[in-house]
Amino acid sequence: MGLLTPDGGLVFWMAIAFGIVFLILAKFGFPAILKTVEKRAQVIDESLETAKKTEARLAHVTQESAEIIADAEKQKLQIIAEAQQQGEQLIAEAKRTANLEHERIVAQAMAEVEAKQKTMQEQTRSEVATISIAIAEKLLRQNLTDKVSQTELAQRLYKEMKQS
Amino acid sequence: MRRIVTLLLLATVLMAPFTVNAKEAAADTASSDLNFKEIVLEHIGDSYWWHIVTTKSGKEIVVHLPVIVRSKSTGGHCFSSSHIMHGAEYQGFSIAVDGKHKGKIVEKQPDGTLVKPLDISITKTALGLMFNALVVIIIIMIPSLWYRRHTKLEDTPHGFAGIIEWLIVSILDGVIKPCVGPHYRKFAPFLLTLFFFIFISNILGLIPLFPAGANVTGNIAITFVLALAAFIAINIFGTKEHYKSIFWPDVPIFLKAPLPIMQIIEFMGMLTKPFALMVRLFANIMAGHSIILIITCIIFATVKSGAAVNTTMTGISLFLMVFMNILELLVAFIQAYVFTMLTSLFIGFAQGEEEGTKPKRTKKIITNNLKN
Repeated sequence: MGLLTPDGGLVFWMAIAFGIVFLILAKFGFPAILKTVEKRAQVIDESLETAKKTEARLAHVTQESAEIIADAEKQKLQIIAEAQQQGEQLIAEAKRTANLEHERIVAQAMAEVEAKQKTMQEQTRSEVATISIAIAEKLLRQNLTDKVSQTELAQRLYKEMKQS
Repeated sequence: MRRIVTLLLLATVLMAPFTVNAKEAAADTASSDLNFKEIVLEHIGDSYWWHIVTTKSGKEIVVHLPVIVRSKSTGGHCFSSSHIMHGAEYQGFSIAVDGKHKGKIVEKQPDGTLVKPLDISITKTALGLMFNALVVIIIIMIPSLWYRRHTKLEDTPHGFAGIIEWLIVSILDGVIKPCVGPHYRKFAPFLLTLFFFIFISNILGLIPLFPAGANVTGNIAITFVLALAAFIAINIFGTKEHYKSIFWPDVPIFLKAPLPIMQIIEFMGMLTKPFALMVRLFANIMAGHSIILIITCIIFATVKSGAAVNTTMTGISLFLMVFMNILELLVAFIQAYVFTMLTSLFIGFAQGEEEGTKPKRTKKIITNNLKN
């Protein structure tokens, strides 16, 4: 039947038409489209990859910053504790030094007082001696007879000495 | 896209009765009895002129096409088909009324016998084919030129270029890449040309308006060339493994040694693959056109049965026509898709890979496509 046998003329025209269509499209049509589409797909793939990487890096950075913050917090606490300790130490040291100084000053004062006392005593002693000697001198010079007048004299002399 | 499809559909439905009406009128003037078989065959077959419409007064509007023949005895001839219409004879050439070359141009020899000359006339199908080819080129060159103008990757095509790009990419990613395998890039232009040629021809075949509407892909000569192109693409680029699997397949020795049983089977397989492609496309499209025409003919067949029956049948026929046209739109895509997919698969097989992976991969591709 005519319907089922390929007609030669039509095969000829079809071969030419299809050949021309194929040549034109394969040379000028599809490559331009395919090239751009593939390039675009590649760019999209690359962008996705970059986005993924950036995301990973961002997560990493967030983690890092959290770590840094935690570290800083720890350091802060440590520093505060250290400072406290140091302060306490300083206060204790100061107290100790103050105590020592105090003791030293007190000791020095005591020593001075003692020394002064000693010199005073010496002085008094020598003065008393001198006075006694003077009194004795005067008593001896006047040659007093009675005991009353002697005592009177002694008292007067003492008064005089006191006044002088 | 939907709007375009709707428009096409509308045009198809609206125009289908007119075309047949014209033919009916023509048949009416010739003989009072309608010959529906002739009407259908006239449409799905080929002819030397393009009958567009017959007016009510019986005046035919016909596009006369050039007849190009080369006779062994009288040499080359080229004349308008208007000279040989209605059985006329011109320069010894006429259209055979019956016999082996019925419907074709034959030359009357001096001894009275009719001999078929070498005939490369631009027939209705050939003209439709050229028109389709032009449409395919335009449809692909528009986005292609768009891409030439827009070299920046940030630019994305919109509108028509966008649709075509979407279609190209979906065929490329859904069919060509998975079926052909790693060397798909070399075959992509051919397979895409194949797809678009078949798809556009199928769609244009559904539009009954000159110069579209010729039954191009429903003609076996057309599908023959397409299948031949597929055959060439499959086998020319076939690898050593491909040919080894045909001429020295991996089977027990008695199946191939004294009698080349497997070789014959494999070689037949090599031929049946494109043959199946040829027949599948041809039969699908031809059957679709036939069914639409037959359904349209119902209207005219029931005229004599009275107004009531005729009106009812017209309604039913219109409904069926709309249904069939929608179905044919689907078939137009499916057949182009299947042709491209099978060609891609055969090319992929001929690209030579380990035997074991073949069935698995095919199955995977088919399930993937079914999912899509």
